Amino acid sequence: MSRVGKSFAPPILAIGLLLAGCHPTGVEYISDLDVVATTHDATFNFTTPNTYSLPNAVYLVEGDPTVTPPARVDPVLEQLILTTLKTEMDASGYTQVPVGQSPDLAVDAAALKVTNVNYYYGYWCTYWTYYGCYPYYPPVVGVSTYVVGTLLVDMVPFSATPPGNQYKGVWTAVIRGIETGSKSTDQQRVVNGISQAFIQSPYLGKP
Amino acid sequence: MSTHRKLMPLAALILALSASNTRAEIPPTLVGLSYQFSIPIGETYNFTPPVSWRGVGLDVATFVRKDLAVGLAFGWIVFHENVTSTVNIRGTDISGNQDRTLNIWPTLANARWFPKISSNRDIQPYLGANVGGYIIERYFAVGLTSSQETHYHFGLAPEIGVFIQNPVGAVFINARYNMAFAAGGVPFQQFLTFSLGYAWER
Repeated sequence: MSRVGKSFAPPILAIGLLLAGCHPTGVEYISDLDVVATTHDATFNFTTPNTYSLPNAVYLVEGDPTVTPPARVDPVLEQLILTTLKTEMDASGYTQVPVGQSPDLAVDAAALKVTNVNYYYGYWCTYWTYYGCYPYYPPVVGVSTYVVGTLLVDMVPFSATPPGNQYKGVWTAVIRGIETGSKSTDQQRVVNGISQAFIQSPYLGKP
Repeated sequence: MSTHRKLMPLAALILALSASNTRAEIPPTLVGLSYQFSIPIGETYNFTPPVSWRGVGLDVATFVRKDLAVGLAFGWIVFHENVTSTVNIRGTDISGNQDRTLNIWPTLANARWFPKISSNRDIQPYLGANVGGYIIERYFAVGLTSSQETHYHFGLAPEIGVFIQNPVGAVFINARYNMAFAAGGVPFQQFLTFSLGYAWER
């Protein structure tokens, strides 16, 4: 390589690698991890139903699922979930009826709370693969945990005698990010999440 | 006969000198490093709309004729987009903050033709054609969920550029229209890359 080449190559390479090498990532705040997902039965006509019902409680699915009665979400958050669902369903043109009556659509909500644990052991490996890898001494173990809270909302056509004793859902919303540890933040995110679920489902509602 | 004997070494000398002149006119092998920025087009634009300002290229070329060089081109180009929007994936509408990245490594063989447009060879435009493959790593994340897939795409890339020579090397500027054909479910990718680099004799 010529002397000029030696002079120019390092800065060009360095600038290029600096620009190309950084793998960008967009997560800066915990709210960046919030997700709202909805899916629906495309064959179902959502303009046909007129009435709907809401549950009285929002149960929390966590820990041992055999424990009865199941836990419920924080009372304030629970009420907020039900109120927001009512607001959105009413705005979509449906009319709420009490649980005891037979609605056209039954709306149900439940929350999932999952604690994820990641851990790793530190290892060193010899250059000669014959001798393999061994744990560090003293042992190096890293642990991280995070909690993911998810609100599930289902909508099913109501029938007093469902075939096979099973209800087939026609709309499901999954709202992730309702267990941040801050009640006020969770409340805001629940409202935003439920609203977003209806916004991204324009097929819902009466014309 | 004696005249003939005297002329033989002279003819041989002339032949030898002319041969060395011919060898000296063949330009050398060049190595070039460049900074690159790229404009996404088509499906590449649909996935990551912003212009990529992250790119680096390595070119090696050798002249097989005075006006024709063949070589290899390598690079690393990063397209990235962070956006909050709704996407439909297999019938499910998903809203959230999305992290989308395309890491692209072109591995191309090329030929470049340097037409003689004037007696001044200091500014030498050229036309080129590249063929080879693109290793494309496509990363998509929404919330805590991510997917990453890497495929090797067959590709073509016409190119136009100019070498601005100086006594010890050359600054070069070029534009390359990259076309990486669909592979592994990843659709046809297109992007226009502009390079600014420096080449020197190897």
